[in-house]
Amino acid sequence: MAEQDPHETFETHLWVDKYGDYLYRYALMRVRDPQVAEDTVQETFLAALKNLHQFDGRVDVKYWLRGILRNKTVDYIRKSVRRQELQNEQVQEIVGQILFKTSGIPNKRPKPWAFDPDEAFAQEEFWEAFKACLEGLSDQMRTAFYMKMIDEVETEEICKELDISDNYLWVMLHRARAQLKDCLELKWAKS
Amino acid sequence: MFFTCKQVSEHLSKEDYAKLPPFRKFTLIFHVMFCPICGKYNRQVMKFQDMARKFRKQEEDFLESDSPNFPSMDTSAKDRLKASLEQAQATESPQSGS
Ligand SMILES: [Zn+2]
Repeated sequence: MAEQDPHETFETHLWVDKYGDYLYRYALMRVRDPQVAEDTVQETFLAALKNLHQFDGRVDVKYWLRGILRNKTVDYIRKSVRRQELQNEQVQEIVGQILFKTSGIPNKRPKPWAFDPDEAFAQEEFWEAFKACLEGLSDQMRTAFYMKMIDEVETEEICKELDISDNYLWVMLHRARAQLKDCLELKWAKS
Repeated sequence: MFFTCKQVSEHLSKEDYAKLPPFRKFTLIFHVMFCPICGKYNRQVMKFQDMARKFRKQEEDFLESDSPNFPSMDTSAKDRLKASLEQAQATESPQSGS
């Protein structure tokens, strides 16, 4: 049996029509800039073509492409965030504050939600608000939140890919949660 | 041996408790069950985990949607993309013998 051309098997000529919008939206959610989103999608397709032999077929081609795209968007964020938002001393200070807040004063507990989350989760408009709030986070915070909470990447892996320390990530996640909560309460609790 | 509230909140916040050895994990769960402060903090972190899980489903629907209300690449961008892929393919796998 003659060996098939991998490009033919993968129908690479249909990729743009089949996966273009899917990947573009995925990138847009993470990098926010339409031009950057387009560029990262292009880089993804090109990288995939080059590495077709590495595709093992264990997941759908779409998810394989999405995995490559995820790395491209993280690369972009790491490079575009020239300077960490916080200095190391600030990180230490905030870590101290978080610990103090959660364990220092017994009666100062985290505030409950201003709305019923379970009820909100069932409504489509809530997720529009959630998406808008995610977009409002800084690039680094949003990326950390996506990697940890949505993509479920291991902590060590996130720190390596974003080139940040363990404590720095912790502070980012803590702040992302707090900011999201505030934003959701503003956008949702009032409606 | 036993956790302080400080250590518990650190583990909860970093969400790295799944990797603790079984007995340590048990002591942590035990602490969270009976400590009102850590219990409340845990519920808040868990709400976010729950929200993220549900959002993943929502995101997938959004990515897959055919609705014109959602952002998509315009036709000219797609054409450029197709052209660059074709070009890359031509250099990647030159037809043998031609
Ligand atoms: Zn406690």
